[in-house]
Amino acid sequence: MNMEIDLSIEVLGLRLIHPLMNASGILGHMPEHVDILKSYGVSAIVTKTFTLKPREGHKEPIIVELPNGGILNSMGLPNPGIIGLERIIKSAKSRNIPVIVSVGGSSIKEFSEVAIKAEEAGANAIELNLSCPHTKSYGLELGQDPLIVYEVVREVSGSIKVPVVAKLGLTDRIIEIAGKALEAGARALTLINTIKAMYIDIFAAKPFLSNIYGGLSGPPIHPIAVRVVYDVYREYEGIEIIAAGGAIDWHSVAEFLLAGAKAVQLGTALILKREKAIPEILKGLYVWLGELNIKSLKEVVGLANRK
Amino acid sequence: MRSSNYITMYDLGEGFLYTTGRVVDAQRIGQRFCRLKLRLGRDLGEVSPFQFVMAGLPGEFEIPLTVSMYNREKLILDLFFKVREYSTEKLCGSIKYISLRGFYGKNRLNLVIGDKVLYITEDLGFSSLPLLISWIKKNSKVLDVIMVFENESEIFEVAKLIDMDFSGRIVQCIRSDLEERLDLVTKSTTSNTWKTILAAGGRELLKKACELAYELGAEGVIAPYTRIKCGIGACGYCIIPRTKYLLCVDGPIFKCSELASYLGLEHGD
Repeated sequence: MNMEIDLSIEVLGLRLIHPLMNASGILGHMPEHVDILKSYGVSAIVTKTFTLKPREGHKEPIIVELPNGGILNSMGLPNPGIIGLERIIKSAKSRNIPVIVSVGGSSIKEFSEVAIKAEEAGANAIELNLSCPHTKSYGLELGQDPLIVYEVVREVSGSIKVPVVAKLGLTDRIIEIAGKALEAGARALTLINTIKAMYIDIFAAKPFLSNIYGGLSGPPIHPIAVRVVYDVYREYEGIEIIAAGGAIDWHSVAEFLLAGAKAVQLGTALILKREKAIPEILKGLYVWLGELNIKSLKEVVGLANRK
Repeated sequence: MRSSNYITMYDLGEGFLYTTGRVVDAQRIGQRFCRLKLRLGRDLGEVSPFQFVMAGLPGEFEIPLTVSMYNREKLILDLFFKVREYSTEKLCGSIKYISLRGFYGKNRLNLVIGDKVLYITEDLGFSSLPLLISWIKKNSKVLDVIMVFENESEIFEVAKLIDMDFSGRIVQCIRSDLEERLDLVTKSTTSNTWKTILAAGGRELLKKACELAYELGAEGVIAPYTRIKCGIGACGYCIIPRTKYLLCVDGPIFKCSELASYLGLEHGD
């Protein structure tokens, strides 16, 4: 196979060498994490969700690996607050890695203030976490209401110059909510966040997580995430989607691209395969595109959605 | 890939497992320590000295505990820990089941260890002694141990923790006497025969152990303590400061040279 294949992609106004980045929550709140994520080979770093003030998060147990290959977590958005933003952004910039800062808030004002600080610190883009399923007042409760999503995105988009991404979760009204986010100025959508779920220890006869509920990620949610990306892309053709949800190998990444995603965020894959995950996926994508006689990854985005 | 008869992990390399341990025995050792014996619901795989589990009560708490011993055939897991707050008090109390995730820390000891070993340990590092001694015996090594206690009231009869039938010596001391003990050790006639100086503990103790290793021309191998939240390398809280290493996945042991910037070692080895 002699054909040159281009795996680069343009998203959020950034030209990325390939479409794979970490999902928010996989490292990303300390400067030391930058070197680890760089060693994993991400094309951009997505930080852990930052809030205005430091948050301790939930007490342990906060995570459990499930027999079906999924991971259930309820971290509770632990982060150092905006005081920690500058150090991690500076660290990424010095290594020439674009940084997308995940921003959380319990009010429109908080979202906006954190986003402004992140832009000032040098963020390349802002991802609004409108869908955390396990932290009261900080996510899904906001992201399920189309009007609140509209207000948050409009306020943040109007306050900063860098692109804004709305990270949405699974809801019955996802098409409507996605439309509101785009209408309010979101440059892209991240679809989807973890899905609210729980695990019960059958001997203790109690929920395992201290918070009872957590967010399910990993291979079990992948078909759901593909469906959402497909539906939203179909409704708003040509929009920029960053997919997240159980992409574990080149095959599951390829599905996301075909459904309409321009980039893909990895979580479980990086936890389990670390430095091996991204090279393996890129190698698979390269061979797959060669098989299809396609020269550029850009050409497959949304291909499964042809009408 | 590890599996049991009713669990199927995706082929994701070495996955992680969850199980429940039924408490077979809970015993106080000395004033401040506890030894727990658990029968596991499923095999958690092969274990190496210093690897740990996340142990707790569902919905209440979860803490990292170093594995003291594991019999894979009988699925019996031993944990040894210092009783210091609500969670460890509760674990050493009259509970029936404990939740367990593990084993964590993929960097196995047998990759780096030498022939004759000096192990300097304090506090939480005592837990690894039974497994370490069993490993030492299997591999026909000699192990000398210095156990550092916070104060005299904490010192316990070590035969209650380990099988004393091994080649080597055990010295117990309190923290304030450590310098003196190390000085004696360094000047002893056998000191130049140690190929590896192994240490588990806080930053100061590890630094001393690495400096000693450098002085003696031995390999320095250390097991640091950090805060652990998730145990699987996702949250990043177990980062060893000023390094690119996560204790729960890159550890539990490191060469001194790998943590030189954390320890502030001048020679970096």
